[in-house]
Amino acid sequence: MLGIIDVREWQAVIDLVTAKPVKRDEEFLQPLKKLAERFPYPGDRDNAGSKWTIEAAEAVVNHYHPGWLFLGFTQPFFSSTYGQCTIETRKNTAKIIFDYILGFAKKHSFYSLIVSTGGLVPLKGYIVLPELKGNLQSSAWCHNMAGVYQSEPGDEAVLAQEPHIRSIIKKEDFAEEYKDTKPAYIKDFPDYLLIAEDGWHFKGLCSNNRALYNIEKYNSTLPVYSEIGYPGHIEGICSLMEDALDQGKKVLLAVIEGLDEDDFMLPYQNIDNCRGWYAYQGYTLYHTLVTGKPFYQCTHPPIYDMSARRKLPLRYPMSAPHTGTICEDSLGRRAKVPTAAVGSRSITTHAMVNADLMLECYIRAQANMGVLVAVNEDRYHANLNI
Amino acid sequence: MRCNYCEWRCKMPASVCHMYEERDGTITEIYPNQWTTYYLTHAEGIPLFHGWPNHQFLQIGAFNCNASCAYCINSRVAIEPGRKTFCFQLEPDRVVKIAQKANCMGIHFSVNEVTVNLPSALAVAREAKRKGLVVGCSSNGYFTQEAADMMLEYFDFFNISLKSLSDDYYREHVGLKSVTPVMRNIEYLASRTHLEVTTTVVQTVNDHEITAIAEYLAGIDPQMPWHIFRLLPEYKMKDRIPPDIKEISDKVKVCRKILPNTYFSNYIGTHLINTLCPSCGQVLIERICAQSCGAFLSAYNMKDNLCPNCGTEVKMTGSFCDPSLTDGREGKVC
Repeated sequence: MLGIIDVREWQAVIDLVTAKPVKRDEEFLQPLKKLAERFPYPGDRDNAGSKWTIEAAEAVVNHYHPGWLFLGFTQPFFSSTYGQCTIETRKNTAKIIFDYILGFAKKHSFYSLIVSTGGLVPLKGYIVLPELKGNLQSSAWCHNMAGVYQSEPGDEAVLAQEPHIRSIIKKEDFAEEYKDTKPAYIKDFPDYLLIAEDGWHFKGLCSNNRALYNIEKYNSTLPVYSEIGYPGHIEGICSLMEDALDQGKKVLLAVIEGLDEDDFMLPYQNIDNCRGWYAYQGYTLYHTLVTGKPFYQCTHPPIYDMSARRKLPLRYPMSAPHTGTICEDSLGRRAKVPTAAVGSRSITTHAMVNADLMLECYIRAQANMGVLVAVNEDRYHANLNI
Repeated sequence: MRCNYCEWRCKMPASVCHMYEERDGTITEIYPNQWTTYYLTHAEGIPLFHGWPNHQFLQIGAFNCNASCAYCINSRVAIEPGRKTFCFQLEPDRVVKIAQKANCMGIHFSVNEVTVNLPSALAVAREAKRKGLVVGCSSNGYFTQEAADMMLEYFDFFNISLKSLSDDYYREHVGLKSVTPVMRNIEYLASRTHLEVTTTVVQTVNDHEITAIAEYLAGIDPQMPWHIFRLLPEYKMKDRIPPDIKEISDKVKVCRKILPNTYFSNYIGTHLINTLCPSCGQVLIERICAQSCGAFLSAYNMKDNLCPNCGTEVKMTGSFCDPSLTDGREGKVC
């Protein structure tokens, strides 16, 4: 996968597999460099971020004419997580985003499917677990989840006494329940995977030190608006889109982070979002939307071992710094039509959606580093007859 | 009574950092063993480009600071919080245990200025050394000679931020009175421990000093590793345009003739973070920058700190960690 980094007034072309610079100066790169240059990312905290997604999508569609398009909107999530956000503000934001999407879809003749990643709840408190002997490793994305690595005897009893943990999944039980999971996934799985009760945030190794106002909740259903029919389960969305594509329809999948059903201003259905004890969120939700596969067949577990060392040479160090694995079987990679994506969930866009042509903001630890255009050259060249 | 940890030398009970008080005739920490953050990084992420290559470190920090840098990327815990922020209560043995379980070679004090919670940091460092770990810090360097000696007893490395050579710059943009103590400490530490230096470049404000800083550092140690950071507009400088990369890169290339181990990073995709042989130009260590601050090591082409092409010795402390030689999940540190 080829990447064009733009950090404002400076660009670099890299091979995303190694993240090393490559000397490429073919003609086909010029419009892609221009694309990166035209859309510096304004940030996630106001409506400019949502406008960025739709304006960049306009440019991508005009250039590449995809039959399947992914759009990612994160502003409702970030505004509510890292600041006070009134219901009125969130509803206004939601209306702006829905208007953007539907207007855009109509203009370019896409059939829309809009999924919210679910609502947030006010932060109630922290789960710290100082008596644990193992390392409690938090997730910087899914604040209501954590894992215990290098656990010791007695840790299970400590976990059992914590009143605000909703689920404790033992690694052995997980491996027993999901036998067709890849060994690397199992190896990365924590000794105990923990899901908090709504409003409780795990604090431990690698947890976010920013002030949080609202955090993710256990969303057993997600609101979905669809012009191509409704699935019975969130895992069914991918095949629904494939069917529509087979019928010759152009399909647009929009993911909006941080909207609850009360904020969903379009007619919607609540779709089952659970697989056993797990409710899809974070990158596993992105993964299942574009692959149709259950969470235990994702590239890595909902909590992965950040202390594990990776062998050199690193693979995909900019795309998946801790796991080196991106989603290879997404609809973006296998649809029979040209595919594209624009998203403001940083590297998750190319690591999970993996379309032919992608434009995303490049944010690490909430530092706005620039934008990245990522291209799967095989399909991109074939579709443009380059 | 005056505090002797940093060069403010505050007269108690007033203290610039709000972290110490006088108790029974001694300067005492108000919030001992309280940490806001602990997470994982590796030597290159610190950044430490000439020490313990590719080794993993536990990075730990508290809150508050004795400075107030206008571009602080950790202002939420270093400058703004007072006592509002969440803290872990972690005793020294627990910190060391966490590091060991997470396959760390050492512990790095960062996030805020280490001297504002120095007794706690020293207690962790003492325990870490007892368990055979490497210890170091990133610091603004505005500490007293007494504090330097306290840290030197346990610390194996320092990354000191030299923000400018000008007192005016320090007063206006850093919230400190003078650069002189910082320069004194750089000179003092350079001959006693592993030292790397970092300078954030703010275009039109301190970029004219780049060559002068390179000459100053080369006068102390011609192989001194120096990290020039491109300003990431944050905090009070969030509306500034980040420095022009081509312009600064040209200056960095000139600096490399004065100080070969000069690097330019803090922006993704930079290629000025590889270590080159100062004699023949061979690429000795390849790195990639995928986030702010440091980098990842992607290839290590030296043996016994020598250039494989011409045999020139290159400054390097500690051994290279090759994860292919061990299974990181088994808790072994390579």
